[in-house]
Amino acid sequence: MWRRIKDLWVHNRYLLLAFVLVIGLAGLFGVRAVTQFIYWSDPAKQDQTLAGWMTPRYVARSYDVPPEVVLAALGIEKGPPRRVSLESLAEAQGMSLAQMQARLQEAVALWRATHPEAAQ
Amino acid sequence: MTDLVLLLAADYGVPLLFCITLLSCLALPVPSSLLMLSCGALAAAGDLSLPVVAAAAYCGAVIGDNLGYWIARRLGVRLSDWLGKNPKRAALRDRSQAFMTKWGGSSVFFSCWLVAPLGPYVNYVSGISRFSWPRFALWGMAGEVVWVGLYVGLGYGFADNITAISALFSSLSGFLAALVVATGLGFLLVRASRARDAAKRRRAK
Repeated sequence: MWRRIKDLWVHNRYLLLAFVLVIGLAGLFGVRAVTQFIYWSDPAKQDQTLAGWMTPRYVARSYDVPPEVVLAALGIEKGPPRRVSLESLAEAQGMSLAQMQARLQEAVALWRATHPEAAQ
Repeated sequence: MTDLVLLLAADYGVPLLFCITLLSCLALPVPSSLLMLSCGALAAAGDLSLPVVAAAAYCGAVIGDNLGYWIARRLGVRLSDWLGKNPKRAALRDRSQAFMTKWGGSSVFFSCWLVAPLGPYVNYVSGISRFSWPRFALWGMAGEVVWVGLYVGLGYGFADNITAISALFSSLSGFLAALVVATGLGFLLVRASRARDAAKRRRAK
């Protein structure tokens, strides 16, 4: 085995280096997959941070609250156009995503507290 | 790039998805899997239609695969003199042709979804090595059903937490692609080393 590796180091150095590099990459990805799995398995982390691409209806689904709760928290009175991203909403209202996040969390916490039957 | 593409998803969901899966099959670095997950999630929330999302992603992927194949095939015809002139290049071409004749169908099928990061390159190799187009197209169409079904389906089914699913799947897909490349390189290394041993034994006799 050792002799063979030495032989490859002499004759196929670049191929051997590429092999080691790719094995290293596989290890890195593997470890990352496992840590991510463990991290996201924690039920405390189930509420996703808001991202610009999300729509109010998607947020409602993700946080498992009625859409009206989200709409009210984001300051939308009438129903929104069918699809609108939070990014455009934030821009239209002069609000940052972080501000939206804070308002949403408050509203969701309130709703969950007043509707304990909805909690799994 | 990734953020920009995702931000456009709510406004241009379906046509955007079509373009992005098409471009990703040509080896352009666009976030196709992430966009499929997000569009699947938007479909689960009722903001997009699931069948339309799946059809757009599928058509984009199949058209992109075949476009890549034909670009490479045309290029291969132009390059055939250049490839044939140098014995090393000619040997590489012959070897890739032999490989594709033997393993072409399954390479195309699995590179569509199981080792998706390698997919576009398999399309190009198929074209350059003049692998049979009907076989390429059929295996590719079958593979893309799995690819699109997997990502759009995961987005739809696990809509509650796209952040988690997309992170996990990008790692898993990187892991698998690296593993497949490592197996290929390991095979080449073992073969080279054995060939040298055999040559040494022949000299010793």
